[in-house]
Amino acid sequence: MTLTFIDTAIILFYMVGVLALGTILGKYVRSAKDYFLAGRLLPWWAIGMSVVATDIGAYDFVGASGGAYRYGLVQANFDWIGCIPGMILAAFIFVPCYWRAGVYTIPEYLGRRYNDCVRAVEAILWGVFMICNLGIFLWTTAVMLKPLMGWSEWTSIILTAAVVGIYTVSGGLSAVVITDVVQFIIMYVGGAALVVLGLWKVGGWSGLVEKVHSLGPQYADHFKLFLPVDTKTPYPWTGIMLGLTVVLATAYWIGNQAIIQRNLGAKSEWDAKAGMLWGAAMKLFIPVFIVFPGLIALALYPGLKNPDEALPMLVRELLPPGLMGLVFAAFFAALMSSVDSYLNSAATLWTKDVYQRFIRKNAPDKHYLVLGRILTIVFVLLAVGFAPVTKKFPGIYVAMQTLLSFFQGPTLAILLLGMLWRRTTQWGGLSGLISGVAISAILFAVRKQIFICENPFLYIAWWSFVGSLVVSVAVSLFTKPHSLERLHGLVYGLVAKDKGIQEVLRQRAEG
Amino acid sequence: MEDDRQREKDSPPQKEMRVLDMIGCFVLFFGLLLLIPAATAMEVSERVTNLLSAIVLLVIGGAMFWRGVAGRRRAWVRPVVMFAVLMSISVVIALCVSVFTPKPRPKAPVEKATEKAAVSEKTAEPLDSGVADNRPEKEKDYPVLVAALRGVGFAMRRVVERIPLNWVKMLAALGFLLIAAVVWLVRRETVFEGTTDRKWWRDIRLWTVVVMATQIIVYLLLGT
Repeated sequence: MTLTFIDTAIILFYMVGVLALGTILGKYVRSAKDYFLAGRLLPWWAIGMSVVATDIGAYDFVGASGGAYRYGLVQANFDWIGCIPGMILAAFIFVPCYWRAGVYTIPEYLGRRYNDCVRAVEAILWGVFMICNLGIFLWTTAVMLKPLMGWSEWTSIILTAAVVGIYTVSGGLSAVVITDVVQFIIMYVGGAALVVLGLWKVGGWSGLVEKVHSLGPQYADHFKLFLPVDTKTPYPWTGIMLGLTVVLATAYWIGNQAIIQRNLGAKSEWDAKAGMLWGAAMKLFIPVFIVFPGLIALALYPGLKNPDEALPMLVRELLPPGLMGLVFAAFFAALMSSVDSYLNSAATLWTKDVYQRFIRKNAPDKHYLVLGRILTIVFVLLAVGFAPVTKKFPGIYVAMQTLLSFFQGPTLAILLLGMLWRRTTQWGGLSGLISGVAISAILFAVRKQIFICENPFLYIAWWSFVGSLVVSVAVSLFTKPHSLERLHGLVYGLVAKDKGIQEVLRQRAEG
Repeated sequence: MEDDRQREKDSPPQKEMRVLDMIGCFVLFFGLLLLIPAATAMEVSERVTNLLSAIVLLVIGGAMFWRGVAGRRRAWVRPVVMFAVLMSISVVIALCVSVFTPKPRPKAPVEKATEKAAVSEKTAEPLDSGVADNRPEKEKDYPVLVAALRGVGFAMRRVVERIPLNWVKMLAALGFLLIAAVVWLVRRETVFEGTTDRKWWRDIRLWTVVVMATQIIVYLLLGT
């Protein structure tokens, strides 16, 4: 399989265009605030598109379609029930609170609400997770491109890392968000073209259902969003409802620095909230582009040894010249939009929560700006080094979720309690966080003996959340509560009552 | 005077428009590029799909570009020139690559037949849903902990197993409905905090209702 001239031209134009667009925005970066929070000038429409583009990485294109090929439509829960309620909760409660508190990062909020120890643990956990995640993102490019373009893994990894690295170092969050908007549009048009052609080929929706069901009784549940408790797949309905909807999705949308950072850079509180809801509306279409191709591939090419090859197979066999280039550009768009966001957020975390807080407190603003740029380069190199490690995990998507489930539950527990219950104390938060991660680790160690399903990451997330919640509440009740002055601007009810913050907001609204 | 002009140029709305015209122009040129395969494709289906994708990109990009340059004299020149140059460079490089890359040798009939057989062998594997039962036969590690956790787990499982999947579907729909209703408890002033533009369509509670209604329909149709 070789690309035609027009496919190559489209991919090249995409690469140089994104590089130029991102680099041009570097001229607006004059301070650390410009670099890390886009000068707090982002409009709602750009935030919404950027949030979705960041969330949908290349692993979704490969892993989610592979998951749909293997397990069916249940995979779509990750983008529907496993996203939308969490995004709405974030839009109405958490985003306004973070925005009003004027923080750069979630660990910074946790540090103010609890103590520096919680801040350090969270910053280091997220910092390490993001670098691992970057490696996964880069590896998926190699997996996808190798059979299609004949590139070696290292060629793909280094090319993507170089393009993304250059514009992220130059333009910071503004470049990340604005290139995300272009990437979002390309991703949607490319994804839609693939699905329309695929459905055309299998005879529409009814043809698709008929063909998949005719493959055998084991595919009877392939078009159901809820599966019974005793299913052998990793997605029983209890796991979907409790582990995914309540814990993983909520934790991701209210506590993931890469997602929340663009909301923190919004030009007003309304833009921050509306951006998240606009993203939720756009998210409704995502399963159509990333889950349906897996089902279409199952109908057209059943029996693939590796389900992660479903999408590459479809692209190779189905798409004409021109659209092939567009879908490749869409794939690069998905990859780059996630990599740039994680890079920028990781640099923000290490600069603001580790370096500025614990190493050098009162350096000039330019110092932090330069450090942010240096760290971005370092993380690109680390991600390139980590990428081949991903090969050891059997399924790309599940590997990612397993990593997430380790500390998503505890983080959610302390964020919820910190924001909504003023009685939570610093020691309650710290013990909840540590015990939650410990519960995750223990459950992961004995998972094969106590769970029925193949990979119980949803259950691990749920029980670590419950454990962390119980420990936080218990320890808080036995320790000295914080004064109201210390909690002003940090707890939901007290944010609205804080006259100082309200005055600043009024002034901002009046321009 | 010069300072005022510079301040006006650096104001947030102006910056937003300048960024919008660049994004629009980029997408617009993408659409133009897709018109080439739409015009040269041999098969009708290929032409139609390429053309449709190009039209979508031209419309989206055109609208953003128009909005971005509206009211700003000669604002269109810079992005158009920049992306035209970038597109030309891309096309020239792609042409060079396609001309100078050695073409794959045409396959002999015997080779083709072998390849075909390999593909059919690849896809003729016995079908399974890719799921393995990985429960170990013996509990080797942490016997006490495992026994305790399994006991609690089985007791809970007996309860949730009795809940029919249709109820789960209804529960999900009810949850969505509840979210759509609860957001109306947020006061209008709080919803519009930070903005002076209070048009009815900017009420994010309405956006929530639309999103939740879509979710209810999807889950009722495809839930079980």
